[in-house]
Amino acid sequence: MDAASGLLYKVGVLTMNRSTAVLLVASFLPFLFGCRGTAPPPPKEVVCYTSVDQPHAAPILRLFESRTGIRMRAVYDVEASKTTGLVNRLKAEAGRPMADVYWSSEIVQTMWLKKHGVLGKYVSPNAEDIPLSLKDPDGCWAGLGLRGRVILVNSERVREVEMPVSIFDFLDPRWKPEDVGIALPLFGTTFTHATVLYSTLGEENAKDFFQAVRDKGIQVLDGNSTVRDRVSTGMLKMGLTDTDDARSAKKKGAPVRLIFPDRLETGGLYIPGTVALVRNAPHPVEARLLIDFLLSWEVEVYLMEADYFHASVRSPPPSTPISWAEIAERTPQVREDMREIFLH
Amino acid sequence: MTRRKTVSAAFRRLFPTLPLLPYFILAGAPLAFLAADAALHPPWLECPLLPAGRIVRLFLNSVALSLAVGIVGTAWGALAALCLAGCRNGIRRLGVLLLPLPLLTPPYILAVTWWSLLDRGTLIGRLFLPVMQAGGTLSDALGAVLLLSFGWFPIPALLLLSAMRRLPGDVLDAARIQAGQGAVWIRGLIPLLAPSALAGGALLSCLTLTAYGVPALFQVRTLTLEMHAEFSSSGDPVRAAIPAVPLLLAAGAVLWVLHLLARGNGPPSTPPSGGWPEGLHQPPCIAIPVRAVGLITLALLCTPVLLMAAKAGSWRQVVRSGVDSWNEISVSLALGAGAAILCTICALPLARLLTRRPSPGTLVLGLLPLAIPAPLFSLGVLGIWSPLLAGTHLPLVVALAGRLMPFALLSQFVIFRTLDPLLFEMGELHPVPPTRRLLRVTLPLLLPGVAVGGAVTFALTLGDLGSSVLLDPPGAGTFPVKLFNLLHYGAGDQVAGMALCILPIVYLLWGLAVLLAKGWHR
Repeated sequence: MDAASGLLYKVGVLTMNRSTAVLLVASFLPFLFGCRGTAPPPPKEVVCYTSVDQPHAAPILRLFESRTGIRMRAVYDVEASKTTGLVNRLKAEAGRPMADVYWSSEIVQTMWLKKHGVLGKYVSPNAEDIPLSLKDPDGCWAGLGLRGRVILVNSERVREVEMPVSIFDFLDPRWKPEDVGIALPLFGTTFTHATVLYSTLGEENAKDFFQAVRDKGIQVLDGNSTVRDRVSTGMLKMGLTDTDDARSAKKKGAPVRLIFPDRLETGGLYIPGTVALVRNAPHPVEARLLIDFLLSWEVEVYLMEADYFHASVRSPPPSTPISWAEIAERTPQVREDMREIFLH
Repeated sequence: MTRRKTVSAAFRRLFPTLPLLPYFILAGAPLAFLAADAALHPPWLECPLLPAGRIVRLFLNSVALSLAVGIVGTAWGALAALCLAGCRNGIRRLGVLLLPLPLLTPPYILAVTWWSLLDRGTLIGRLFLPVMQAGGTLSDALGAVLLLSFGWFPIPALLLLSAMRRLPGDVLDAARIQAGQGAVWIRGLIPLLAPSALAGGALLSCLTLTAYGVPALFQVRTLTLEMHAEFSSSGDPVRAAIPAVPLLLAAGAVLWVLHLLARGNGPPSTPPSGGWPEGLHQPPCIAIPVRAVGLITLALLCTPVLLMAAKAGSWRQVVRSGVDSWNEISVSLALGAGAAILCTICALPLARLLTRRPSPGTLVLGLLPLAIPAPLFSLGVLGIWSPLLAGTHLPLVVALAGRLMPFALLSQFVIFRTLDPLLFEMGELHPVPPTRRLLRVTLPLLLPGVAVGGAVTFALTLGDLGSSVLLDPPGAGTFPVKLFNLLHYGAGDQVAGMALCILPIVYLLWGLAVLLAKGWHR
């Protein structure tokens, strides 16, 4: 007892005055506030990791919560972290998953997770009317809504007769390198676009195109929203981005025009979002209910009306014929090529 | 008996390093986890250890940006500090209270605010957009330098103000009788204030070396951006961490040079007397630019708030944004406060060790977390702490505190360097418990460093994305994640509303901290 008192005296606990004690207790209050997550979970809840923009995803998840009474706990990704934060988190948590459902804004990362055994299997009845090409044959994921790839053009800086029709127009000498921008094709939908080009144009042609982009000195930006913002303000004349980004610029009244590139040749490119069950999900029953809800026609229509999706997976527009399984196979090689071209 | 003696001797040898344990648990353990993971997964052998080609160019970009920010920010901070030092007491007190506001404003909020000026609908946008279009990457780089300097100039300014308070007024007065004002400035004041200015510049440079948000927004290609890109594309922590080596060495070199330059210099080690020396009276050639910078700075301090108010449109929008985001705001403030307190406490023993026995090894070890990108550091925290603390905010607090601790360490180290070790040794002679000595002697003496370090870590936690995305417990996201989502969505009015809600709270907390510190100091 004496030894213990001595130790307490030494560290100052027994001799502390009131103000010191208050200061010490106050310094730990933030931790108490910050630990609300430690409260015991209610009996029914579901955890969803999503890379869909929070302003679009949150109302849908809240609607699910109000309809089912199941507590919804979401974690959102951001474009600034290249929408790979959650994928890395899911992989790191694979042995002890916290997430039940992964709702992604694109497809390649989902297929990468499937390859690494992070996803479980669930075939939702609401996925029955989704075409086979837009759902996994093993039942690991299903498509939800399509976003298109578009050239966003500043209509104040580009005349009507000069409007580009193809991504190859970026290489046209009449456009200066500082007039044109793309997002770094190492992640997100720009990477998916690059992989699709490898599939449709052939490896050599696609690689030559990106090498030419690099050699010309076209602006390689941080993300699709940066491309949108720079085209909207007129700092760029044109750039490659997604339909949701382009539409948000148009909604804000920016002088921009959307052009679906290479439509005559290939029909354009549309990239599906995906919904997947996480393997060994802690709340599998609730997770299946959420997947059913997300894959419903109602959610898809809501997101189309909000201009997040361009089209439904149930009635896809004419587009480049794509085998997503083949695309997934190609990703490691395309990633290496893109790293070599743009990072070395 | 002999064995007991050996154990006792070993314990006594280890005892001085025991206070460093929290530092190593917070900052070292996640890095050790990453290193062990790398050792178990040998693909790292394929990675080039020596930087080449593009990496070298990016490294040079990073160094150039950090030097530019260091120089511009320090010059700005020095002029602002001189301006405040020459003011009357009341104005000076108000100035000291207002000065850290840009530091407490997350850099991305500053960036978004200034960026909004370039909207095509505004007069400034119409004037400057063609210039920026013509300037290309140069105008981007210039924008990044100005923004980062504006955000961080309070660091050298506060350090210089602290040094000015310790200047020996009577000695300076005596010198002014012997020589002219110019000579007193050149041969007396500038050498005495130089270490604090250098320390401020070094801190700015280190901060810039690892900055992510502003260079990304302005598209200035730096090595930090490359590390994020590498990690995002490969998902391989080791591959992404290798480019960190030159950054770490650069930061270590900057600080080591600073240490060598500052050795034996600095203002006299007397604690501040409460008054301001008369010797700070400025000759007209200094007074005019100083006052001009003071006025410009004052205008710039108010501009972001006014711009955001204009962007938000109406007070209803501000209230609605505040109510919608209250959960995220409260979580972020709590996390920031927790991480800042944890940093301050855990960095103290290492700062002291570094002052007493400075060595490049200790310095690099202390700076190591700074060179590791947030997502990588957070993966280490996830691996170590998640099994124990999953579902809580504690892993996020640990990640933020561990990664940002070098800033607290550097701020405290800078102040330790300028204080006489005898002051601490005298404190140790009193037979009082160590906590009382810490709270009554050490921390009050280090107050400027503790305040700067705390404010920097707090502000940086409010801007953190890399750790938040990986470690947020489900259902309780942070403010920056929501804000960046809204930015991506293009909801400028909501972003402005949210920023207008968080800023007064942050400023209020700063005011309370200043009042608390003043009471404590007395």
